[in-house]
Formats: sequence, C-alpha cells, structure tokens
Amino acid sequence: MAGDYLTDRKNPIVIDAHTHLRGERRGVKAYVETMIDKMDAAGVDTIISMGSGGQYIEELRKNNDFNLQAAVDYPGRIVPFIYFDPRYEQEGIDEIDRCMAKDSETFKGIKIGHKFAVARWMYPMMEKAEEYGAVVGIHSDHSVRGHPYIIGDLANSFPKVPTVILHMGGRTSAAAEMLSIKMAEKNPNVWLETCFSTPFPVKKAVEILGPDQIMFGSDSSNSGLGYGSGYEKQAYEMMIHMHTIRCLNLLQEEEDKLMGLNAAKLFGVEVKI
Amino acid sequence: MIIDVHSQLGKHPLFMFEQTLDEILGEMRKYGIEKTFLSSAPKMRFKEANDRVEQAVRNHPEKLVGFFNVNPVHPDALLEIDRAIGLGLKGLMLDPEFHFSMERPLTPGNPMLPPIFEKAVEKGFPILICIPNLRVGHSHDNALQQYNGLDELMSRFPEVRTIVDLFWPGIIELCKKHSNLYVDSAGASAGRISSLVAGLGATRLLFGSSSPRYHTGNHKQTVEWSKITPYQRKLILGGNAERIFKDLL
Repeated sequence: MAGDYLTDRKNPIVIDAHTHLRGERRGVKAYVETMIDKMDAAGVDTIISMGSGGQYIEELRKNNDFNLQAAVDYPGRIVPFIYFDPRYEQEGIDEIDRCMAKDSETFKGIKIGHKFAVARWMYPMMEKAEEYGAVVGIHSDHSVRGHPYIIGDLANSFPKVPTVILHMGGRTSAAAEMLSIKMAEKNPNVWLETCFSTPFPVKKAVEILGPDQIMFGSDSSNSGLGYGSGYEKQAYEMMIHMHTIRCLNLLQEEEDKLMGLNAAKLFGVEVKI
Repeated sequence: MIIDVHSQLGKHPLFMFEQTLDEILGEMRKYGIEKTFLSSAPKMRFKEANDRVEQAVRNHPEKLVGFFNVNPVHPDALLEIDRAIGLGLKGLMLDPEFHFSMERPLTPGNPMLPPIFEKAVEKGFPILICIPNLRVGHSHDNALQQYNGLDELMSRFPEVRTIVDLFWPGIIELCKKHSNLYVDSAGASAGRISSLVAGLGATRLLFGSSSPRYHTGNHKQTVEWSKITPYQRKLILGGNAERIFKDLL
C-alpha cells in the first residue's frame, strides 16, 4: 500500500477532521468497523464523524443516534457531530437539544451540509452552538450557497463559536480556496479543513495564517460508496488527502499540527506521546 | 514514460497560483515525471511569456515540451503562433476563460477561433484548452453552449488534436463522437477517473497536473490509487501521450 509520501516522519497523532459514519446508504447496511479498518490501514488515530443527514426527521434522528453510539463503542477513535438540517426549521434546532440532552460530553460539534450556509436557520443554530460550546463545521464550495465568504460572515457574527470551513472552499473553483484563507485571516474563530482542496492553497494557508487554524480531513465514509468507490483500496480515500498535506514539505511541527494536533486541541482529544 | 501534458510556468494574474521552473523540475524529479508539456500561465503579454517558456525548453530539452499561449482576440495572435513555432514551441495552450471570458461560447461562430484552428491544421500543432473554473456557474444554457460549441469545433477541424478538461459537459459523449478529442485528467478525483475509464475506456485520458493549480505528485498518486487496471494506469500516465504526441517528443 505504500505510496511515495510514506516517509520516516511520524506525527504524534493523526486526526481526520472530516468523515461520515452512517448506518446505511442507498439501502445498503454500513458498519462502523469498516471505518475502523480503514483508519488502521491509513494510520489514522481518530476521526471527527460528521454523521449523516436524513430525508425525513426520524431518519435524521436515527443517524445522529448511530453516530453517537459509534463514538461510545469506540472511545478515543471517534468524535461525533450532530447533523443539523435547516430545512426542518425549529425541529432541526430541537434535534440539537435532544442530542445534547442525551450526551453533551460526547457530541463535540454541529455539522451543516451542502447548500445550507445561507439558510435563515443558521443563526438560531449558531446561537445553540454558542450555548453548548460546540464547534460548527459547514460545507463550503464555490457556490453562492456555500461560499467561504458566507461562512466567514456567519463566524464573524458569532466570534465565540469555533467555525470550521469544511473543504476550505474546495477544488471546484480556483478562487474559493484562496478566499477561505482570507476568512480565517480575518476571523480567529475560523478553522480550515483541507479535504478536496489542493496542495497549493493549503501551503498558502500555512504561509499566510501559520499552522494553527488548518486541519487535515478526507470526507471518507464507511459506506464504500460515493467518493471512496473510485479507489482501488478503501484506505486510499483517506491517504490521498493525507498526501495533500505531506507532499508540502512543511516543517515537522507544522505538519504535526495540520495532521492532528490542531484538531486534538479543538475537539479535546487526548494526545498520547 | 510518465508524461504530464499540462503544467504552467509563472504567476497566474488572477488566482495567486505560481510556480518557478526550478519547482517544476524538482517535482518532476521527485515524482518520476519524465516529460512535461509546459506553457506559461495565461498572460496578456503573451509574447514575453512564450519567450520564457522557450528559454526553459532550450535549457531542458530532454524534460520539457514547450506550448505557447496566445490571446486569440489580439490582432497579432496568428503572427505570434508563427513566431512561437519558429522558436521550437510545439503546441498551443488556450485559456478561453482568461482571454475572452466564458460568456462568449466556444463555437466556430466565434470569429476568433476558426483562424487559430486553421493555423493548427496548417502547422500540425495540438491545442490544449484549459478552463480552470469550468465547473463554476454551470447553468443549463452555459453547459449546452459548451457542449455544442466543442462538438461543432471538433467536427469542423477533425485534424486538430485537442485536449480539454475532464469536467467539460458531456465529455464522454463528445469523445465518442470525435476521435481528435482527448481529456486532461487535471483535478479529477479517483472516482472521476475510474468512471471516465468505465464510460470511455482509457485510451483518451491523459495525465495532466495543471500545476500549480493542482499538484503533480498528488495527482499522480490519485491516478495510481484509482480503481483501474495497471494497463489503463500506464496508458493514462504516459502511454497515451507517447502514442498521440510522438511527433512532439
């Protein structure tokens, strides 16, 4: 499995700050163990699981419960988020309360998916995040419904809420990734997660911001479908995004931060050296 | 032989992307790229940019194949093509987004393009069309114009070897219709690569990094880890380019 980036360099901890655990996808059952195997093969200690949304509220609740149970079953390996969907309006907000009432120690954040960064219910969600001291992770891309500028503006309105721009603007546009860096530069509560970004913007981010606001992520899932299905082996889905960081030839301490120490600090994951 | 069919030298005027010749050569060494098709980042002052590419190729003829860049709406565009070919540059990198805006569809109806393609027929050079933000703002109408425009252009100029982005609307269907059309893999995930190979086969897909926008080693690794056969991988990473562009190598 070795790629040309597998050097002697070791990171104190490797945390994949963007993954998805789900109980099933497209009618096919999925298992947490698939993700654990993938993590072990790729050399990932811990994942931040954004969970999965639902096409109706009961499904959303079920997926949030699945995500929590996975973290309970694999302590130290999985840090779960609550999936928030603004289409459910107040019920979506209530779902945050329900999850936090169930286990506010284990749930560390709230995830918002594609298209929703501009939704009016983002503001009540941010208020809830502030109330619970939760991290918020928001999908970003080049579009008017997920642009880093929109997320930066939201984070600026809630300076106490740590806000992660997932994908840091994300690959589809040559400009969006660079602009996500500006958002992090102007807002100390903004972090950038790197999956589907490319090495050049990540390197620029380190040059401009320093290494403390950037985290490796892969968007891997345990379903074997989606983006992961194009790889010869499941672990490659994580490893290609690790390569994005490791091919940059950063200083060892910078790479350590991007590969896990920053996420460990943000999400309260214990680092055993 | 591993061949990167798309790398750009210098600073992009709009997007902060940049790389030096030393960086390009260093990445080639590190990742085992034996040949790179090198153009300048798109520039309004394209003659000077072409001179820099020529100089790079002159100093490293065993590693680099030079592509020139012109602004097709500039009155000197055709003269510059003649000059660049005289300098030993072998292909054209066209950036329609930079030089004449995506709002003007890429069709033979655009009066700027046919003379360029006629020149390509006359001189026998290939054309690489690079649109860095192709995936952005695809309305149905825009996508249809892109599809129809390229369809018409390829029908009218079947002799011109043309390379376009993998994200071009309807790319598999267009490649099936036009044997002179090839696909630059730049920016594609493993899923995109394996699905394109499943739909089209591997003989039309060319490894292109489009560095510095994407990263040579990172993209090579993506191709190597894609769910395709070793033979298909070999074709994509260089076998196809060796066969299609043997006159350039």
